[in-house]
Amino acid sequence: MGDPDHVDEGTPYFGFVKDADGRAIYDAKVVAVTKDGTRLIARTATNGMYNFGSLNKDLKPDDVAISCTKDGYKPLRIFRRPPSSTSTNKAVETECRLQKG
Amino acid sequence: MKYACRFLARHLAASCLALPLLPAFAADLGGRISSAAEGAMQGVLVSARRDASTITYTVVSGSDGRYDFAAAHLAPGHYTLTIRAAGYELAAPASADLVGGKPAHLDLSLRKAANLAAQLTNAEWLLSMPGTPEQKRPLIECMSCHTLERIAHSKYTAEQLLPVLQRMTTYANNTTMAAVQMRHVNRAFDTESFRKLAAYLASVNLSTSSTWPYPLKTLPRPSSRATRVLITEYDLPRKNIAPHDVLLDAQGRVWYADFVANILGRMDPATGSVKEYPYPLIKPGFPTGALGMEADRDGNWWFAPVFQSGLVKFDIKTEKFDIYRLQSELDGDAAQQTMVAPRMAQVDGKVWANEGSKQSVLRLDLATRKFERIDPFKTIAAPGSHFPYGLVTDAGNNLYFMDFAGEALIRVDAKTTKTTIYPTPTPRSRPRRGMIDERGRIWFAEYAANKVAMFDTREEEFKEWAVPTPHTYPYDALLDRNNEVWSGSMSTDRVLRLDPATGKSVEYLLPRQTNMRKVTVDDHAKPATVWIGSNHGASIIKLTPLD
Repeated sequence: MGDPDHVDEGTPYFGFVKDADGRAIYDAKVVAVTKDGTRLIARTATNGMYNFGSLNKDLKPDDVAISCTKDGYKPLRIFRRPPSSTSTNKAVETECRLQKG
Repeated sequence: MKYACRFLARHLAASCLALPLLPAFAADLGGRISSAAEGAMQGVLVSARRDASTITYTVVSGSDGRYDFAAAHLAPGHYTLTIRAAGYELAAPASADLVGGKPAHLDLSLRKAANLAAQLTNAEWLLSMPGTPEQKRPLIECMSCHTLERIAHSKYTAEQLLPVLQRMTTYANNTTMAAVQMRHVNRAFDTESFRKLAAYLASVNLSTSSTWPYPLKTLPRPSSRATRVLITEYDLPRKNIAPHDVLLDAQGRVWYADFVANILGRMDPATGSVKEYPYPLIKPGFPTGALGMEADRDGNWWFAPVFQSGLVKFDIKTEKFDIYRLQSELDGDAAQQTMVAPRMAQVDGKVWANEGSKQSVLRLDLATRKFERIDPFKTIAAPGSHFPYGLVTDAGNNLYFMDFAGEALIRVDAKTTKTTIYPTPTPRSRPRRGMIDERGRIWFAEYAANKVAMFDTREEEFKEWAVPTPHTYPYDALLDRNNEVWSGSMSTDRVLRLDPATGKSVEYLLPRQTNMRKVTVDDHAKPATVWIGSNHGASIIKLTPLD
């Protein structure tokens, strides 16, 4: 057998970047920074979605700061949807809203 | 054989030395290929080998069914001809005598093959087998050591397959059918996952019937540009040599790291003669052989000796080895270095390597000969969920590596060792190996995504191109001087040539089963030529596009 194909059991971090009206923004840059300074950088797809993959499940969502940028836009709001304690869905979803200007 | 250098005025000295110069009485050999089923046949590979030679030349028939060895400049002698065309075989043995520069004409007649299964590539097995992509995905691990034909021909039931799969976790990744090596620390064996895999394999093998319960599918034969190529295959002196990385030095000589033995090889492309340089055992009792290989600024070869651990340097001038051993606190039964990146070591006196067993990278200080271990994932990922693989270094000797167990390109800053992780646009892409160009763009293969990709380190942006043939699983990607990307496959026996500007590609079929790993382009040669090791076939292949 060759090298491993890992099935990750961490916490998925993903989300969307949208404009003030809720429309998807393509190719926005999304940066996540952990407490120790490790950075993750992703770009949004045509549906505005980005995906950082799975991070260590012991990492607290509050220890991962997320920001979004796109030329011609300025930050508006960031919504964080942490994993629910009752749901089986343990993903951390963060939505960035940007407005033109 | 007498050789003469024809293109000295037009080419760099390095390429001229590498050019097999024309025999004094080169003759042409050609003819027409046909079958009762198709008439004139395009895309049939015709190979010619002179008696007692270690070099085989292959050309491909065009749309009119004609093949022509003019580009090979065959020396006089007696040649045996073979063909490759899925579903066909020669109707009768074919040979030709080339005498005194006279052209020889030989038409070839093909008939339907008696045993199609024996001709299928790994990709064709994967195309033929029913099942979901998730069911087939684990099979790509198998191709590292053997073909999928072995699985298809097996008669084990699911229950019998489970211990077989467990046994597979005990083999080293530098194992071939000709050189089986045992790991000291077995891979993880998740019984439930392997039970599912065993059940799937038992549904596609011969455990319940004497023939496969699904039709065998083949990929189309080459056409158009893919027929305009000359392939030169050099047999190595022993069948158990596994050339993994194949690279050229400044003189145009071909060097290879043997994946299963502590041997560095050098081949003269003009004659095919090979000189071997054995290096000592570093960890007796552990699997031998090296994987990744790269030159430093002075042209010295560095290679990563996998389970032998540490790094090995070969001084190109003195032809002496220098072994850099891991310190005891970094070593262990699972330690494995598969990659090394000395290309920019002159910047800060450091050479990068990987430590696959600890999802880490290593950095060797040349002055102190000490390694430091850097775990780029220590705070953000569970142990064992990542596997640093292909390494490239930029002008500042900052490291970029491909996470072969995951889906990201990772930068490690040379000064601060801070990490930046760039997930690929395609999830679960398993980026494998690549290179960095002069504009700071990293070209690499997304093995499991079946894509070739580019990451612009300045813009921090990716672009991806899908490989046209399903189940190609590209291993490596390399940009040539014409801004075309080359990649090899462990499953299709095809070499990919992609124009990233247009997205158009050509796939060159090789004459026999060829488990390809790293690709190397000789940019000094005209046209640019591609060099590849046949990891399971004990040969080195030169591919010369004729357009």
